[in-house]
Amino acid sequence: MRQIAISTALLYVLWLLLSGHYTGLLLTLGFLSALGASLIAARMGVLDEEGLPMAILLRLPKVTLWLIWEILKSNWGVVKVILNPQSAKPQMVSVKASQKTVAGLVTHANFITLTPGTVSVDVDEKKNTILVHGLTDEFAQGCLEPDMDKKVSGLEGK
Amino acid sequence: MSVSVLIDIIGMVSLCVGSLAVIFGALGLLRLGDVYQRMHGTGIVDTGGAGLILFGLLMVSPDWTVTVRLILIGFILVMTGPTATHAIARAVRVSGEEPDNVKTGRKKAAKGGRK
Amino acid sequence: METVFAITLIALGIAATLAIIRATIGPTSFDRVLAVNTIGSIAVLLIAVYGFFDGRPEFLDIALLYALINFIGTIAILKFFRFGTLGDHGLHEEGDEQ
Repeated sequence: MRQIAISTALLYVLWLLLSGHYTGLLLTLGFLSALGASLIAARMGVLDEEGLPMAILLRLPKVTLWLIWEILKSNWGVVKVILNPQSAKPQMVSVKASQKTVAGLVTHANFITLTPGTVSVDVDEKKNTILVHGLTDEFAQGCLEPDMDKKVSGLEGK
Repeated sequence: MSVSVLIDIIGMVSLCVGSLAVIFGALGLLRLGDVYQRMHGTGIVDTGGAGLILFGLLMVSPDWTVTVRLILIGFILVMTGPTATHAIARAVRVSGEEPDNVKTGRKKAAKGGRK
Repeated sequence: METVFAITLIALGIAATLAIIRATIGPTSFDRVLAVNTIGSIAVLLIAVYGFFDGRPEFLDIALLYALINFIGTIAILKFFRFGTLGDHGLHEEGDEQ
């Protein structure tokens, strides 16, 4: 019930931002369609803690600046490798993840892929490890450092 | 007046740097060795290139509805880009293709990097 | 400002050309999927910048839709590669291989 309310509110805000027409009829219809979409999603069974991880979504702005800085840094690193393809020393490393929820693990894997130079190839939910393909030693080793892991675990709350 | 000129200049610089990033990403897609490495080229297009170009457009956006749409496009690209890349990477791995230059085999590669 | 938009459009065109070359020569089919996915991302940016270049920011709605369809298309192609069908049947037959 709470999930349906949150989802309806989010979808309605999105509709309000995109619509640009604010008359009584259209506002009502917009609300009805947001509610309908939420009900269909609830019937599909995707509106659980995994499908709508509010804890992570609400804390996301805290890491945004740090993430943007990391992305810019590794962008530069990958551009250097592209200009000199011989310097690429690809590696596969397995990164330990300390996240407790599946949504947290997915966020961690997505952050790893989001920073160029590292791509998460396989995620093991049972052993809590992420197999990462790094473009060079530097990227692969940087991924092993617990920095990003801590930030993502911080997103999960307790 | 001077502030708006400054914002315009930031937008232009951001657009130009973003264009360079996109070209470098596509170049990486063309030049790097195997399919795993080429994914990093796509990563540049999806993050650096798209981010900088959208930021540049954001700086010169005429009104708030445009701003909302730009932020939404950026959000969607950031959410779906890595997911699609991960899906491709996983599909390549399931298909049995091994990355170049990684000497260890599949089992060893999974253990190799652990500290 | 127009000039900068034009330069960006040209740069995006060059990048799309490079990606098309990769899609044509790509040794494995995954190279092609990757290249097509990249072309999709570039097309989203191209539509957005063209909207500004032409002074018609409504193009951003199209870019938004293209971004969503690009993602769904990539996932659909990968699912088709793996299971040979877009329906649900393949999932139950060979779904739990790792």
